[in-house]
Amino acid sequence: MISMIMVLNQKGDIMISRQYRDDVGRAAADSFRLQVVAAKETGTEAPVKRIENCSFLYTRHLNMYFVALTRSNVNPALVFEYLFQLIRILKAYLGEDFDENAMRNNMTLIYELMDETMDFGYPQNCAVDVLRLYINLGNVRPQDEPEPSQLTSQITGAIDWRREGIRHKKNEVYIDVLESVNLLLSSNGNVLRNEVTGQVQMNTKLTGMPECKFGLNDKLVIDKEKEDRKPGVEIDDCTFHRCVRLGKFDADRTITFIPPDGEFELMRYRVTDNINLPFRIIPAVQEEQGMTKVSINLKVIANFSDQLYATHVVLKVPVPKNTAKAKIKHSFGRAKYEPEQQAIVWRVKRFAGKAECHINAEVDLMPTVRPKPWSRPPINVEFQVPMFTASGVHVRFLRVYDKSGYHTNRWVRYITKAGNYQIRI
Amino acid sequence: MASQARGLQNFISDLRNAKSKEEETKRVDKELANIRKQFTPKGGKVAEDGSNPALSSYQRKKYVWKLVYIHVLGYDVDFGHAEVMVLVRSNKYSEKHVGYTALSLLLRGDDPMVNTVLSTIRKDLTTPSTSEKKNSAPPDAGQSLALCSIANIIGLELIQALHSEVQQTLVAKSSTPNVKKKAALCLLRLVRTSPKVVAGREFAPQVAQLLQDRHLGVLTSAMSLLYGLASQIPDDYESLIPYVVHILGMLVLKKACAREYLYYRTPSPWLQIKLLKFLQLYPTSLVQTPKNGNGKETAADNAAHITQLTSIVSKILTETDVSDSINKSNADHAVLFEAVNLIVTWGSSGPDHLRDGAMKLLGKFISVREPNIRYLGLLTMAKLAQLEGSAESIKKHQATVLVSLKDADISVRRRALDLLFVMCDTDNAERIVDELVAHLVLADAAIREEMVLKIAILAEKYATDLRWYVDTILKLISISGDHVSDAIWHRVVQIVTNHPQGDLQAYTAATLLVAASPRRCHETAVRVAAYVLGEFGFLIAERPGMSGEEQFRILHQHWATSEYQTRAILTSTYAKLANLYEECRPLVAPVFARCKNSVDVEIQQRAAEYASMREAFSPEAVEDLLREMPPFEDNKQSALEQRLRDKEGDDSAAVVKAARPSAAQRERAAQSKAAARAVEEVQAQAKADDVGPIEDDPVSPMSDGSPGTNRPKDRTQKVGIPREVIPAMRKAFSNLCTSPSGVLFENAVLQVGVKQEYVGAQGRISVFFGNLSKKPLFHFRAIVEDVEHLKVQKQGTQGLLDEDENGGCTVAVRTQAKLLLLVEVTAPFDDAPAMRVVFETEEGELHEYPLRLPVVATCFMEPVTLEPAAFMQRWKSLEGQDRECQEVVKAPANAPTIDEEYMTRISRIVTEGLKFGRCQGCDPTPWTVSGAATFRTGAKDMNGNNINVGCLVRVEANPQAGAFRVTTRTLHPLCSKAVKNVALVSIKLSSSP
Repeated sequence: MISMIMVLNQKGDIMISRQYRDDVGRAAADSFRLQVVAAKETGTEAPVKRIENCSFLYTRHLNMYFVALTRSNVNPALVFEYLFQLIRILKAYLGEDFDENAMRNNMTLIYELMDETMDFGYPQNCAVDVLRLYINLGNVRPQDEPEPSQLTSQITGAIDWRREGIRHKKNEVYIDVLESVNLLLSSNGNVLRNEVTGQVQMNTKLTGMPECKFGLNDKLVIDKEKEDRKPGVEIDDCTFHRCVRLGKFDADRTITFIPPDGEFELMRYRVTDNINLPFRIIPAVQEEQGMTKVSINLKVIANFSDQLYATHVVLKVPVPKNTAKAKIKHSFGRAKYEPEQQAIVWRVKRFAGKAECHINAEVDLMPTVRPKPWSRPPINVEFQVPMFTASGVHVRFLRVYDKSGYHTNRWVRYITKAGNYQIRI
Repeated sequence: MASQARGLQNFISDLRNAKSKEEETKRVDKELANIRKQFTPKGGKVAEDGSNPALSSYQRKKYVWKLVYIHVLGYDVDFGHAEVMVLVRSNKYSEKHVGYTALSLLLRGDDPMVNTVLSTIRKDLTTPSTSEKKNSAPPDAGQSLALCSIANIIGLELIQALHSEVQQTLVAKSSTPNVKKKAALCLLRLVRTSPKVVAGREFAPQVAQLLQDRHLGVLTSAMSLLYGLASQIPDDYESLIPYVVHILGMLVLKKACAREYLYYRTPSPWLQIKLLKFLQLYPTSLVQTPKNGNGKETAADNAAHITQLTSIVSKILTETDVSDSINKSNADHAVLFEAVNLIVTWGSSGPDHLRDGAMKLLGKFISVREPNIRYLGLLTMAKLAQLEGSAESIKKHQATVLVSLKDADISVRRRALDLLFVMCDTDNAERIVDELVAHLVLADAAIREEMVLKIAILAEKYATDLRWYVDTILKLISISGDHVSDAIWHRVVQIVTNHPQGDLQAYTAATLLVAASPRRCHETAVRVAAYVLGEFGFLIAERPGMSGEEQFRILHQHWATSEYQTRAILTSTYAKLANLYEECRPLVAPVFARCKNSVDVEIQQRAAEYASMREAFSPEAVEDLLREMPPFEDNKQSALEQRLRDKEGDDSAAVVKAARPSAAQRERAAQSKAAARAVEEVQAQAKADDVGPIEDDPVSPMSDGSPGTNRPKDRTQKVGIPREVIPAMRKAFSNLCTSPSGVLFENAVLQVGVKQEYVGAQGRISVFFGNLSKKPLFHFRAIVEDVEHLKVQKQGTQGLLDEDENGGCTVAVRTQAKLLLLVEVTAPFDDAPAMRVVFETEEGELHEYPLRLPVVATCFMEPVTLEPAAFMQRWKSLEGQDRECQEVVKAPANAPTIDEEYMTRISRIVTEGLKFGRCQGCDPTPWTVSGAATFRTGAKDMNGNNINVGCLVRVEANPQAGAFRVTTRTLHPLCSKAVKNVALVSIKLSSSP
């Protein structure tokens, strides 16, 4: 299990360190500083480093390193989850972009939080709402402070992520379904990789301890109900927030839960079959003999309903390094050669559904001394399509049961974004 | 200029202000795109050479400068050469200048563009540009630029096309000194890449002409070229020595030098150094007549040069002094050290007074305070020390060098160490090594490893007594064990194993045992001790506190703290100890049992193999497996020297020194060879000697204890066995008949210890002769008489087995001689082999002790377990005739009463002492002990099987009478007798208080 959690600044000095077990010492920070902080490797190296029989698992927030040290063979996913949760808690307490100064000023608070969220190297209650009930040194000060006895039963009880006696004047639930599409097309149009990863974000403002039941158009459920409706979506993997009753899900695939108050991520899923690609791109790139010119022809088709529209569409068409000039013709949006990206970048703010667009570009190249073949990197696409899901997933229902039987307003929103949307040329 | 290149300056400051690498890259990419755009003509009209004709001269220069800057920052620039070419071709100096700079940076020798540049460069090179009047550039600027570019680009094509032009430029009369200098350096560069462009012999006269130039700058460049050429092919340029000597004479003797080349009143030290370096290429120039091509020079000229050269060098030696100005003295000393190097290269062919002078000077230098000078002094002295005959004069400075070893500066210490290493020889080795060891305690970590290595090599090389070597290495381990590499202790083991003569092995074993006995000692020490005790531990097993058990205890205390590698060695040692000493087996067995589950595969394997060895193989095979290691092959180069070479490179003085075998080493090698020969001879003789002296009467082991009384003294001066020790001797002999080790004989002068072990028909008996007196024993010999029932192989300390009365070895005070006997029994017998020990004391007293070796029949017994019925059947079948032997022995009056406990002792005598298998159940009363065994012999019967003799024994006690009756029944009468005798002796021994 985790032996120690440290927070280091950019220089590698220890700002916060909390030892949970005594098999590592503060001196370990030195080796971490030498091997990781000094190497200035950010992002390219693995986040787990093993130095002298001690594993360092780390992540960054701004320019601070959050490091977990252990000598045992831990589950790294658990450790990282804890680190992410810790950062989330700190964000909740100290503000979204808390920095070194904020850390220093709230040292006692942070130590208190670290003591509460982990015992002897095992993660404990990490729910911010609950922590707020009894750790309120910072700027968080709940109006209705619970009785100590109530607090104890709450923390040690079965539902530690929601406290009792929450009241809202309006009972509302917001559901956001966010999807990102990953695509890799070969130059002759074959799909090499295609998948959608989605997440369901919720914001609940509900009174009391309501029991919620949530339904997607999951293929397994729909088939069971045998209604003559559109076939459901095959969901490959999904993970849930811990409030979801997994036993029930395993038994009959219903998602039931008592939600935490406020924002949380209910689930994540992945879909690989029957994906509706929002954009179709047909490239034609030709290099002329002698490497003096490249001509590029692109056709972009929006594949979704004409009632919708895409925003923030960016197409990056790579060009050779020795590009001297590019003449670009296009029907709408703005396009230009950006040498920093080594690409022609075409930007459209609003792309209507079913619309088509052509781009023609003539690229002049500069002769070089040592001719190098062009590696022809793929075209990159970015976009956002609101109220559209590439996977076809939609929310069928959300039922809220509470003793008082109040009425709930529900709001659902869908957004599809480009993840790694690439077309080889 | 500043206002002109505004864009360039902005660009540079942008890059300097960039906060991150990414930002910089982005800016560079943007700028490159801009330059590409600028270089592409708008209307698509490209000039013939691919450049953009629309660009102004200023723009072109600016963009090319930017390209150069980007290139210098490390980005790849692979375009814009057309524009560069335009600049190169231009007539304006400012453009040419930019063009050539860009060319030499952006172009590589193997680029295809090189061809297009060639003609331009050739043109610039051959025609000094004179056309420009308004420009202030000197007329030879074009030529200089071209030469620089050639030197920088260096491509095969370029070299082939232009080298002749460069040579011409170099020697042309019209060339200015500036151009000549550049041409010489350019040519040197060309020669370094492709040595064949200059034909040595033809070119030498041209260089000679250059050397007559009066301009010192040209001379310096020319000497650089000449040195470069001559170090490739020295022979071709030997004829130039007189010129070089002449220039040197001008500089040193006449001090003829232009003012601007005087450096702190030293005439052009750089040139002097180059000249001296050139002369160092010709170590034989002083004796040999230089081969002169044109034949004009005579021997007289030659002699004149030699005298001039000698006087120059001696002048450099005498006139240089430590001066106040650092710059002046640096320059002077640089020249001086080169001169000393020259003397070193001359070696013995150079004049003696120069060598002496150099030595004296260096002696002065190594004692000055200035560390640079001392460093160089030590370095050069190490070189000088390699010369034959310089050793004596260097030794005078030994004390000074030892002081330098304590210098604050580590590089000075290193050099001092080097020098000490080089000047070490047999005479001063001990002192130097002792000093080094003493210094090792204080030395810091950086130099320790090197010191340890060097001390180890020196100690090995110059050890007159190998015990000193062993001691030194032990000291090294205790002082700085971490730096004693495996190679060093491996070498110790190798040397100890390869030198069986003397008592080196026993000494090493004893010393290491002592070294390993403290609770904390270095791991390396444990390793050596483990190995050496495993091999030679038996040599000291007789000494007090050094028994096998004790050895095991001392080694095993380190077990828990040692690494796997050490444990593996310890495991092997334990196996050997367990094999040698019965009493160690129960100690070792649990260790092996635990190690069978070790994490380390090596230890696991060893433990498992050693543990199951006894069951899996025959005793002979086990014996063979655990025998002492044979001497190592004497490989020419020790691992240590190899390490030294790896560290310092091939040509360092220390390596050369280390490779040379020392006198002590040679002597030792010869000794060990001779010893090996002697052993072989002795063995051959022993085999050939079938007819040994036959005993006059077959004496029983009992009466055997007093041979001193039996034998008439044939020489009056001979000292026999003193009477008073005889009873003790008897007891010792009897005791030894049934125990594996003990003392056979002891008086004030000599102690004889025996250690024996038997497997089947074979036995291995080690006899140790320890000198207990205060003086060494001379002509020490041990004569083992051959008997027909035993095949004996003898091996021993050198000289011990000599037949000749004047031969024999010398046993120093408190040391041992060792005799190893390998016996194989071929027939039953009832006596014990005799051995005579003969030696002389310092006073000339001749001692002769006739002894008996405790090799009796029961030694070769193998226990047999028989069912009571089977025993009785055989017992009956062997009744009567001469197969039975019976004797009654009465316990002495003061013996303890015969009771149950006493009988268990008797049964132990039968099982352990006589090596019989106890036959439980066939004894009718508690007062009877019966046993069975097989007597194994090495002789073959007609079918080729070994002949074995079955033996049965029965001891009956009569508690009332206090008497025992021993009955033996065997297939062979002699066997019966022998077994009965031994049994009686043992019982008597047990009953005596």
